[in-house]
Amino acid sequence: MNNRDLLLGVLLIVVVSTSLFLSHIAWWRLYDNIDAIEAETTVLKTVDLASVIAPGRAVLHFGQDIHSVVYPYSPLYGKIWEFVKNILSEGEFTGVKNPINPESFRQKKGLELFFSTPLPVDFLTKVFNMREGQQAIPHDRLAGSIIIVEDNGLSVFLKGTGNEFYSLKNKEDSSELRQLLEQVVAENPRLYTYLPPAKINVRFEEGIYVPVSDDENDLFIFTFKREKKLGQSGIAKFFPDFSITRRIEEKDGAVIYTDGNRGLRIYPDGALEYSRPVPSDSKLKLSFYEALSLAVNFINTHGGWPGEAYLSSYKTSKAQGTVYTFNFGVRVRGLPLLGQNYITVTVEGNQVSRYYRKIVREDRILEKIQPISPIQALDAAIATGNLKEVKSLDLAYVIFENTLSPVWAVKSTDVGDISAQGTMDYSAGAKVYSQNQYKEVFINAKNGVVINLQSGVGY
Amino acid sequence: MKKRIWITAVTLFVSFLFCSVVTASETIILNHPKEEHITTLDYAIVSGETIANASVVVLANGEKKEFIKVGPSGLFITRVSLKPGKNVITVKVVFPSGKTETVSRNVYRLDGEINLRSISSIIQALKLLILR
Repeated sequence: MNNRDLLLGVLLIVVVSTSLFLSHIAWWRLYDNIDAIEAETTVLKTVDLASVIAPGRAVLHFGQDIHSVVYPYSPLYGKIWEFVKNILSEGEFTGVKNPINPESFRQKKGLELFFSTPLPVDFLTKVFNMREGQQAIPHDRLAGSIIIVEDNGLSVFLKGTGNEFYSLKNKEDSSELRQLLEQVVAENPRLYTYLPPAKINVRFEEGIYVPVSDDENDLFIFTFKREKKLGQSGIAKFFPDFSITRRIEEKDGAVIYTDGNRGLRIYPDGALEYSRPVPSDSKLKLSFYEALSLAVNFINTHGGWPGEAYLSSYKTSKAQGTVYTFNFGVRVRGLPLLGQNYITVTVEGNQVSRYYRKIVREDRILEKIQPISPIQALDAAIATGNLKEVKSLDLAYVIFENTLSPVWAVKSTDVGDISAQGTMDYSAGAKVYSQNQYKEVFINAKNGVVINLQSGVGY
Repeated sequence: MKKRIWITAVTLFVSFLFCSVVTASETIILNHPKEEHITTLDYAIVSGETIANASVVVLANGEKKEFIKVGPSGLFITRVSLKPGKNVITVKVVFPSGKTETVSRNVYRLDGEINLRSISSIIQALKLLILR
């Protein structure tokens, strides 16, 4: 009997010692590499959703058909966005108005901020703490922009994708708006005029803002750098118990970590892909607001929140429970870096089931350029691709010949001959709400040449 | 029978004339300046749309200010200086066929925003009076 107890005691000591030894190895591995981790992104306490969905551009109307276009990199943008957030947070939803002629807004003093992707109206009311008035806030409706205009006081609208206007209670005093516009004018901004939708040679749905001032509009061509590979402490955050994970090295240099349930693959270029299966009985449904908050917090705690990141598109699928796929892009000096999604997060049930991340950042300035005018860009797109219909025309960046290059992104419903020359199929970015029929053509902002991303991409 | 032929021929002729007029008017759209435009700025934006590869000459008060060779989009834009008071902006388009078309607009430059507001209210009042 004594011998048996002794044997069991020894066995217990061996098991405990082995366990302690293995745990020690795991934690030692973890902390040993901390010095090598140079966080290029900041892990914030919380990420403000309003900054995640911050509009891609603000158009200011000064009256007399003179406007200015402000992008997020501009110091003026911060002032404008703060002003708009304050106005919205005091807002009370008063109902849906019939389509209003946009021309009437453009002729008055005011501003319009365009979201990078249309967003649910009820989500926006929650993000900006807007009050529900006598009218119920409509669900499953999307808004593409915020309009604030001086019109017997201050009129505030969310403009729907179907050209409907979600009206907020008017403010009697418009002096704050006037002050803001005066501040902007004092900064001597670049002035624009609006060319209405074209119809003779090309059907151009949206019309364009064209610069009319003679000042220079410097844009830069950059080299770029990728995010550094995730260190051990960063990797450990993907697993509840890192000590039980296995590390597998693949022939192509990719490294896989798995605990039998969750998997993390780190590619040689630093990109990472994480997946975690969702239990089939998971019936928890999150709202858009909750799902986006979860996705953003996950990014923040798993690699850090890149300062220039923004929600570029999303897809909602309701096949088996609600599945949200959020795509996040990054901006280069306030302009979107197009061509692919840099972060993708899928939220199923109440957890993140997939996470992909491959961030690039501007590094050194290679060249300063003066971009060609939007009309020249449109001419180039039409001449090369025989386009008949254009939806929008915006400044952006793409990765081209190992650089971040400024381009005019022409979104078209018919790509004509250009598709063969390298038009990106941007539907990979989960462009929903009938946006996926559009193709994007990139015109080099330096020389007006169509960019062939398939041959020139250095990424 | 003869009468029917006559009626058909006249109908066709009138339709042809109508179509020609419509086509001609669609070959140039002058977006700016608007008709009887009033501004306090010392310049006016001249912009519009015409057929591809046309040439556009912009004149202010009869004086040639700008020559633009229009590209495939047919869009054009420029700005011209204004003198105080009434200015006549003329846009002459030379189509690739050699035909030309001219559009003129009156633009009034005022001294300041106060004047602009008062003039606008006078115009509104006059409009109301005429409507009544």
